[in-house]
Amino acid sequence: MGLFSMSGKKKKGYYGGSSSYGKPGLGGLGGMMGMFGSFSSSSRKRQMYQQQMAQQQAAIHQNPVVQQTPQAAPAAAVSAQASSGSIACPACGASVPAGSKFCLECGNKIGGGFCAGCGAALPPGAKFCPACGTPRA
Amino acid sequence: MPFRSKREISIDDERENAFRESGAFSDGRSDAHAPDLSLRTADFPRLRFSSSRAARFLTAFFDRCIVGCDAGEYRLESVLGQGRYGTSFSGIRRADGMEVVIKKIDRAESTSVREAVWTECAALSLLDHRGIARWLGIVNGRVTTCGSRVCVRALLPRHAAFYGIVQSRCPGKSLHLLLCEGHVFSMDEIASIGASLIETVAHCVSRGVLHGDIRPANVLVDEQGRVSLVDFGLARFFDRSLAESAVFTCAADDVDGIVETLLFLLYSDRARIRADRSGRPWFEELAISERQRSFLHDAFFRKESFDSFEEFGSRFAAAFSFRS
Repeated sequence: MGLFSMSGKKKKGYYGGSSSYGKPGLGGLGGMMGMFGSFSSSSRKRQMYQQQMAQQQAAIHQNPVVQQTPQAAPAAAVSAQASSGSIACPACGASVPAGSKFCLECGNKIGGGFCAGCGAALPPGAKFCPACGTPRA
Repeated sequence: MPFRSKREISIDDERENAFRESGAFSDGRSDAHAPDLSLRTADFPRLRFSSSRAARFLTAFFDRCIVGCDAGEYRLESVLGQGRYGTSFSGIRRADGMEVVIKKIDRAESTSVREAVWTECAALSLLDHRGIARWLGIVNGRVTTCGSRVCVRALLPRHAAFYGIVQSRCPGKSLHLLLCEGHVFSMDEIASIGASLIETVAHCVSRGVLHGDIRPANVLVDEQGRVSLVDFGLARFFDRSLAESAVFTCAADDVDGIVETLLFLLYSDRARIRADRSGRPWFEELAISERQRSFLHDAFFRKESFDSFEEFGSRFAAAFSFRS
């Protein structure tokens, strides 16, 4: 969890004693070092996350191999259950993403998960991966 | 990003100090005193009172009220801090006393928030490393009081709703907190932390997971030097069957995060800052060996010089003379 400490010390260059380390426009990465010089200003953090989201979207368009969700990432082989993208929780009936160990609605333990070998979603109760045969960890 | 004047920075300092003194936020240390709601904006006439900050202040205040209450099979013990989607609590599982972290999610009914929840949980499900938390479950219900403790919030139906992600508790303090406390990292400590961090990120990458937010606040170190990587809320995924060189390229953001964290640790010792070059870029200001400078420079600007994370780790170990 990112703990947003609101200490004012780092604003004064406490991280290194060098105020220039926290200043944008100086340092490496053409100024990106300055972007990470301080984490305490909420507006700066918002701007950082907005830039990150924009970069992620740009990266997705430029680099289709990087995806937002594990189901969207191509795998060597996809089981029928994983290809459907979701299963129904046996307790509450809510739609649960394939590979999820717990229902995101009621918290019921489903026992899915992902294969350690290929990353394919494992059906609940499966002892081996249906895609590559790797035993379940 | 526009350059901020010293005056603007000083205003932010005053604002932050005001909120810190009010006790609204916790940076991991115990904070026994109640938050002070009498924020005296008249004392800072030049400040603009941010509505978003006020919302976070009130959220943190109400979330502190449920410390000591039960959420599902867990008891909330203390507030760890505020994150992107809500407040994090340390807790214990009542059945066996296992220490956990419960990340309370605000606006959990929102589709986008649920997608973000699944992103983090999926990343934790894909990973299996001693330095990464395990996903233990989901809590979706109401906060209830325990024993004779009276909690007004638990009695209010609307405010008693609780949705959270339960994870195992990683030991240690964040590097951010250690730096704020004034800890000076020796070169051996930097070598150890860097090697562990690179090994942890290499594991993530081997499982097709990019952390996406590596920085001192998300790296924990305990007294034995064990390193943990937390907060996979901005994780992304890629096909793990890619060539190693392509994988290293995909993980460019994580590599930048690792190197920036190393720079924070290097800057912790003022003796490493050349007084005659103060104010210059880091590669001129830091008094480090040429091998270390070359490694950091290549990691930032010449990532194509690394074929894989394994080579990245071995060059780091050679540059920082870490012997396992």
